[in-house]
Amino acid sequence: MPDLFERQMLRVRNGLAYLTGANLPTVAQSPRDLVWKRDKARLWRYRSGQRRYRPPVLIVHSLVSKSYVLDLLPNTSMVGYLVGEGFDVFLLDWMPPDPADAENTLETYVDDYIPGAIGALLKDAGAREVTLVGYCFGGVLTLLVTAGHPELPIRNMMVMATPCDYREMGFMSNMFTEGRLEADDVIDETGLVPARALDEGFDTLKPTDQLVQRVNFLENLWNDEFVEGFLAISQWARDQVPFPGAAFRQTVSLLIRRNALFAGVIPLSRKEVYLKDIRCPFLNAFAEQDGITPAASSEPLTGLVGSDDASELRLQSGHIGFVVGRQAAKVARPQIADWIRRRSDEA
Amino acid sequence: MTSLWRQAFDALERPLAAASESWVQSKTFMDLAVVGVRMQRRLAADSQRMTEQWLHAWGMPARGDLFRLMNQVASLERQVRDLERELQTRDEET
Repeated sequence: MPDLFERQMLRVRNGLAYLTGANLPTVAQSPRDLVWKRDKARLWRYRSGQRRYRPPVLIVHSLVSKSYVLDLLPNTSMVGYLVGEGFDVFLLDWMPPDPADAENTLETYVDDYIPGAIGALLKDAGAREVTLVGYCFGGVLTLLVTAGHPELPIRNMMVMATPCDYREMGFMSNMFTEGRLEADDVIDETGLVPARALDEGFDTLKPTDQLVQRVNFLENLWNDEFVEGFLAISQWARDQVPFPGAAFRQTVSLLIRRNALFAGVIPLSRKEVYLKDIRCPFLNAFAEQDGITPAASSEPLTGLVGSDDASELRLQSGHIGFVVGRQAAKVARPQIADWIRRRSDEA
Repeated sequence: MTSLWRQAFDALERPLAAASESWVQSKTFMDLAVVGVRMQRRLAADSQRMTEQWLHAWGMPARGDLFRLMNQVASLERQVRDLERELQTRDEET
């Protein structure tokens, strides 16, 4: 660690750079190619010269945040790590929705976009199967896809920080229980839940968090590595996206009020989807200190799927501890890669 | 080693955070928050209606008109998407 004088000089330098916006980190640097798109859905394939394992890995991102958290900085990139380990990595990303997407339902994603993306992936990679990975609400979508589409060649599936028991979701979910807010109370004139509403919700969960983050930043302002990581994470945390209104109405009625995921039966418009129909190898990864998707909400999933090979990975971290931070580097990423590797073939 | 100012900050912040986080999860807070959200929405709608009446009296477009227009465009975009899908399906079948 530099001495006190040096630290103060570094603080001044980094502080000035911060105030002028000169040290904003560049995120999502892993090289990739767009292989398919439909409406706002985008399927990206990460470039690699060392694809050693099959089937390819498809990461389905959440609908409530931007996907660059999975490829934040070169040294903290979940995607970069998996590519480096020899996996053929695809990412299904959602561009921020606009009024044209307001009527997107859960079925739009589960019966249209995700199966479409899997079809495009198989064609592009020349593969016959896929390993499906869902992050946060993307995990909910992948559960519904795997359970509701037995015809899709999903060899393994994994969910990270994915809610299941909505009674355990705390403030964000309890605000929408029977007798409290209706979904339409937060849907705006464009038919979307504005990003601001999500931001305010997350801020309310930890009222002193903004202050603590600022104090942490000031304390470590001399540390270039900390500053870069901090700014990247702050940028992502403030970069929420709107949520399609129709899908939000279903989230409230099915997932929150009927707690359908926890019941194991999700009545979608086409048919009822049973989690016990998920029979492929399944990993449920969740974090003990997750304030957004508490561990108690994710935990029951392992027992609800019908797979003989269902296991869980508990992390001692928060919601994004899978992708950034010490736990991600030392525990999450290596264990996740190992789980997938043991259920894949050498190419 | 943690600096003295940081130790003092943590000593103040930790109990405050614990108390505020459990208050946020309480039934009373959530009920109050529901009332707050509904009141905010009603006030916004009332003020928007009044502004709209005033602007319309002067023959000017209001916020609501822009949203109606946006939603009409969005509806057209959805129809185009449906047509695209139909054409794709036909292409695949033939």
